[in-house]
Amino acid sequence: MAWEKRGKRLFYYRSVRVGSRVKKLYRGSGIVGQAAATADAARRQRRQADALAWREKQARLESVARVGRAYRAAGAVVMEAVLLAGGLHRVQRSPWRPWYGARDVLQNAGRAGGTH
Amino acid sequence: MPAEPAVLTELRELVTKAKAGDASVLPRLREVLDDNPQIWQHTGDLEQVVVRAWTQLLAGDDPLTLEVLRRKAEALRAELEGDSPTPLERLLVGQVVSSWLEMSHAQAQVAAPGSTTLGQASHNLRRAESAQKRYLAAIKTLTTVRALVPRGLVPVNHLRLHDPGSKVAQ
Repeated sequence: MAWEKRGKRLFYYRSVRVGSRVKKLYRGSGIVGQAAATADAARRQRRQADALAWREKQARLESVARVGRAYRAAGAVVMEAVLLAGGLHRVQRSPWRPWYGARDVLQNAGRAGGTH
Repeated sequence: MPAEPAVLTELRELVTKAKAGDASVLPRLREVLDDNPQIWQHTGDLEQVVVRAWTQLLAGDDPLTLEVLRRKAEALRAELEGDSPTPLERLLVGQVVSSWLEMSHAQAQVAAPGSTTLGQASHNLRRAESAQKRYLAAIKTLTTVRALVPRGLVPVNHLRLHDPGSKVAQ
């Protein structure tokens, strides 16, 4: 978006993207050009303010989501620990099932089933 | 964010070994779980932070909405926990509640009127879908664990002498 000088007069153009190309649109000169330039500047300012507000909101969401991820990760470790300690296991992402090899180890350790 | 207790690192290592098939670490795994209540304290603290943050984000500056959401989250928690939840159940129910709040926030963002660009609307939609998947996964985990793990020392159908909700047969 710019003013262009031809001779002694100023002409206001606005650049718009059409597909992969940028086209220059003539918006006017003198008062009409000035009005178009003011409107464009206001729109640009509004868009920048919206983008800033969006970025701030996303940053706030990200900070909460980070704690959420830490919570889920800690929860997953504790859950797996309880299930493994309870004599269950899973291979890859298959369902949890009794871990027969672990029963002897747990019985020899002499601790009864957990209370978790 | 609450600082992670050192014992969680050991727990993570033991879990990794056990998952790799090393059953010899299981007695130590039990010891760590039994002797370190700070593990449960830590997850409880994290849950409080997450739940408070999501309710505040959802409610904005409206104290009434904040109170309504807090009560709704508490009601959901009480309903899912039942009478005598184990620590693991409490943890998993907490994850259901927090993911429910996250999902509600994401859905509210999708439905919110306002000038969003196409990219922002698409981002909001993807976030809502992910949050819904996490919510469903949390419910599934709770259900699976309830089916797998005996409820500790608490009898499943403990004796109830008086149930105010039930009708007396005439």
